[in-house]
Amino acid sequence: MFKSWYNNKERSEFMKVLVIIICKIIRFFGKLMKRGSSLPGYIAIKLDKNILSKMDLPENIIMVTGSNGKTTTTEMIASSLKMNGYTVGTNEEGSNQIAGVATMIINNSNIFGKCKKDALVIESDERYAKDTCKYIHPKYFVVTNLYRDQMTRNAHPESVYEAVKDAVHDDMHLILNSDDPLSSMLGYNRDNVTYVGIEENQFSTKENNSAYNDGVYCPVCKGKMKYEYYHFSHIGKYECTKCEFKRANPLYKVTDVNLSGGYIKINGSSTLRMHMKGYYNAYNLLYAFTVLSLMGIEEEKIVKALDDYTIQNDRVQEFNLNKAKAILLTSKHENSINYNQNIDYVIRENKEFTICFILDAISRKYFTTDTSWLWDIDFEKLDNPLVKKIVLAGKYSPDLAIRFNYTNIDKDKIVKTSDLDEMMKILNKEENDVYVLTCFADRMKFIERARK
Amino acid sequence: MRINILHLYYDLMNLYGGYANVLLLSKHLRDQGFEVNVDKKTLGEVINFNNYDFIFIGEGTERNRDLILRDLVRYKDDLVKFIDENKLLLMTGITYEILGKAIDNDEALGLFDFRTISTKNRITSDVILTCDFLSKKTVGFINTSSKVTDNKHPLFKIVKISGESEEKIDFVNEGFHYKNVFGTFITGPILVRNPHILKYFVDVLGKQKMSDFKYKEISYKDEEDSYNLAISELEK
Repeated sequence: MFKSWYNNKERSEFMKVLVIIICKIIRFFGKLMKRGSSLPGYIAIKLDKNILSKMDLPENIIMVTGSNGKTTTTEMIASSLKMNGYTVGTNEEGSNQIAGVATMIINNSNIFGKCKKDALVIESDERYAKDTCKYIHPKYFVVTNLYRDQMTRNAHPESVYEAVKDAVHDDMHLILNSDDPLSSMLGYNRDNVTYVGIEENQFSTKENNSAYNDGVYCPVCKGKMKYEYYHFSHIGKYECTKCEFKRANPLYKVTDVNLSGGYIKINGSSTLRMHMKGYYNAYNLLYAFTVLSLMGIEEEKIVKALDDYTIQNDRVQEFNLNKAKAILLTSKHENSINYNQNIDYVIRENKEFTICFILDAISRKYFTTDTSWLWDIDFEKLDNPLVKKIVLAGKYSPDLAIRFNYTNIDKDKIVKTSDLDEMMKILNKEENDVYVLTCFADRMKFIERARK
Repeated sequence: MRINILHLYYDLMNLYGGYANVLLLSKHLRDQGFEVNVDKKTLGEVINFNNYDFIFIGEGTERNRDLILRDLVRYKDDLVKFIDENKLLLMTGITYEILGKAIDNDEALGLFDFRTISTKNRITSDVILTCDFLSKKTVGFINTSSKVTDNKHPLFKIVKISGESEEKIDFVNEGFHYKNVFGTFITGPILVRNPHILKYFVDVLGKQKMSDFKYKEISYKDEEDSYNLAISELEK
């Protein structure tokens, strides 16, 4: 009897409306209490696991996933679409699993499940994109890259790759980074893919001198790969010596990177302002440009919108110390490529500096004492005459210190302290600009002390 | 007196900074007065097992574990001899699984009786472990989706679990220990995080080279601070 009741279409429609109303009510009170934005969607899915497939959604659904750059890319796409007259629904940072996505979609829909927006731009956790994609197939699916990231929780990149692969369905158009072997394998022998990449430029190198190289073996057949050039780590132009796998020729490509001038060029013509001078930001711009272009928006309009975009996250912030300036570069703990890019950025500024690493909490989301990722970071690059002092601070400064003991860096340049107030005293004596690298979990500990 | 180390499959089994084990062990051996030579080798290369006192293989992905298993088959007899001669072998992460009878339905090296079964269930947690030949507790991080069965020679007992998989870890015995073969799911820089294991290894290697070897006490403050911090955090 229950079964026939459930199969009844009208009942099902009624249930849907009921679930949406409940979700909206919870959201309303949640907002009043400034609570997280995943709970309403979580309850909606508990009440009806198929709720997402019952929603009437716009054709333009863009999902962005990957290890690095997904938040900024999502923001850039959403903001540029808005500037081009689209109404857009997008999820807040951190609410990037199915419950957060469901909250956002229901929030942007009427009680009958009709979404009121022209486009949805969804940031998705890479391991859990498959949950959302079971019910919603985005028209455009952007995978920024698959790097070593939070391995204490995510495991290794190959296992994350398997999870992302489960999110991919035939009707989704993939936008992939041709410079990253692992994530671009998602498009190997598949139609319906647009590749993007950065062409060889003045920053490219012939050798990979990183602490590890994830590009030695082909992700498809495990044969040896050879590289024509590297942009950083194992990102570059590669070709397997055993099978057909190689860097795909990108349709959208960055043909010019000018970090000091703060711009990139795409396909030789469109010049885009870089909102952050890190090399990685060239990729974020490239993904955003590509999605809008594939949606049929004219080049000039995309350029204008991306130019007008103001970066939402404050990963780079400046503070006044007693004698010099402190530049906070928020980095991702447990993500060596992110650290490496920030170190590259600091060195490319080409001025004498002091650098401070704060490792007080390892993660803001979960408990661990594992600092093995420090061995993946290219701290050796700081064996450079521009570096005047290196300050290692926070509870885990002994772990940082061990890592630095095994570099060639002059030990006299290194100071360490577990006490963050002591760290501030040291930094306040500095005459050179101080770059502070730490993560979201620890940065307020610095900001509060720097503002005093 | 020279100690020869082989860092095997260095470019394939390279997750979690396992290479730091070789760095620290070499440094500590030099501090005890030994000369240390480290060779790095990978798939398809000629390996002369007789040349080495210590072999380290770090952690890799499941696919890479299967690759090195296929590569090592050619050296099965040499490996047996190496182990029988009481030489030191350390494998971190899922790597030691290759020494058992089988990994799922595929034959492994068959040096020992245990078997490995892949599951869909990944365990990631910080752990504290103990074992009978070390007076101090060991700290580490486990990250695996494998299960090892029929293991007659476990290395550790897990005494505390902190982290995501607290409820999912349903085994107490961890790792593999036979003669001087040490295999453990503990990932990466186990010797960096556990000065007492590092000292134990230095002592074993030292005594194998010189019967009258006496470990000279040296303070490694950062390494000790890091260990004490991890223990105190994990015991909270």
